[in-house]
Amino acid sequence: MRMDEGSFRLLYERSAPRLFAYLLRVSAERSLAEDLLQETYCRFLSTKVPEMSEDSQRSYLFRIATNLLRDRWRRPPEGPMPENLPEPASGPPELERQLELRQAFRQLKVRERQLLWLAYVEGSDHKEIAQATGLRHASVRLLLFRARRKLANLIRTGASSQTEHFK
Amino acid sequence: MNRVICEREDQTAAAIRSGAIDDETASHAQHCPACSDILLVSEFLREDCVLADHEQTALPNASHIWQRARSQAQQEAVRLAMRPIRFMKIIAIVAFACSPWLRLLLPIGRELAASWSRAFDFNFAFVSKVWPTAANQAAVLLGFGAATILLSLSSWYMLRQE
Ligand SMILES: [Zn+2]
Repeated sequence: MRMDEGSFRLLYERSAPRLFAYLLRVSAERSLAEDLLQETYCRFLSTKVPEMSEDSQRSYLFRIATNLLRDRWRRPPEGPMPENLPEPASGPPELERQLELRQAFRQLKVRERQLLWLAYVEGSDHKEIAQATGLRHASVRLLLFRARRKLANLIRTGASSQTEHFK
Repeated sequence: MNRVICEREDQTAAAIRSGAIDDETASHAQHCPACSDILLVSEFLREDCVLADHEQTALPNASHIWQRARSQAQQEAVRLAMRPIRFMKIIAIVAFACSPWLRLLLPIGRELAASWSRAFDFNFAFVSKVWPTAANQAAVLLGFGAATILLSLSSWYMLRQE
């Protein structure tokens, strides 16, 4: 094991919530996100790499998680994609809007969701995204642009349909 | 609208990350499709991240993950330690399966040794005395195979106990 239990607990407390949010939103499946979170830390603990700073450890965790997500989506699906989120038909308009927008996010490909989350939630630069996803540095900018365009259009469409709905 | 990349993109993204969007960036984004997309998408994703934080009612327990990682590490260590034993087992099984043919090959080996001894003008007569008869050869091979399998099994059992 690469660290003692105390150090692991500390790292887990600091990094797990963000990592889980990433896995949850990209996989769109709570049980899968929990499994992948556990597997990410297990792999992290079993890897023999030199000492690294906490920031590097965090990037490394996101890298493992990204690879696990990719492996998961390379395999053929075992059944229909579970819908763990509540139906958008109930709740206040603001929640409904958020759920609709979330549906929009789920219309993107896994790779697109990864890129967007890493860039705009984690604040990773193109080089870090390239490392985490295994994409070429030059491809990241273009793929990110396309994913962003797609999501922006979906959000705008969703927002305009919401406006129509509440008129 | 066809502009793929805006040179202020990184600046806009950095402003969003810092949480302080200055007037210049805001007014630029109003007219720049790339930067307005960045603003819109970032705002949505950040809101969603806050919601995701609220949904984390029960993150997997750190101790549970630690135990799981430890048991995986132990399994991996056993797997590595078992490698030579598995190798020996395979050799033992192959030797056992091939013993009838090995028995046929032994006289050829004896003949070869004898011809070498003649070639080097050296008396290897003791080879014939020490070498067992055909029936004993099979018995020796059987014994050797069984011993190897038993050795492997006992080592595996010992390692498993550890
Ligand atoms: Zn711009």
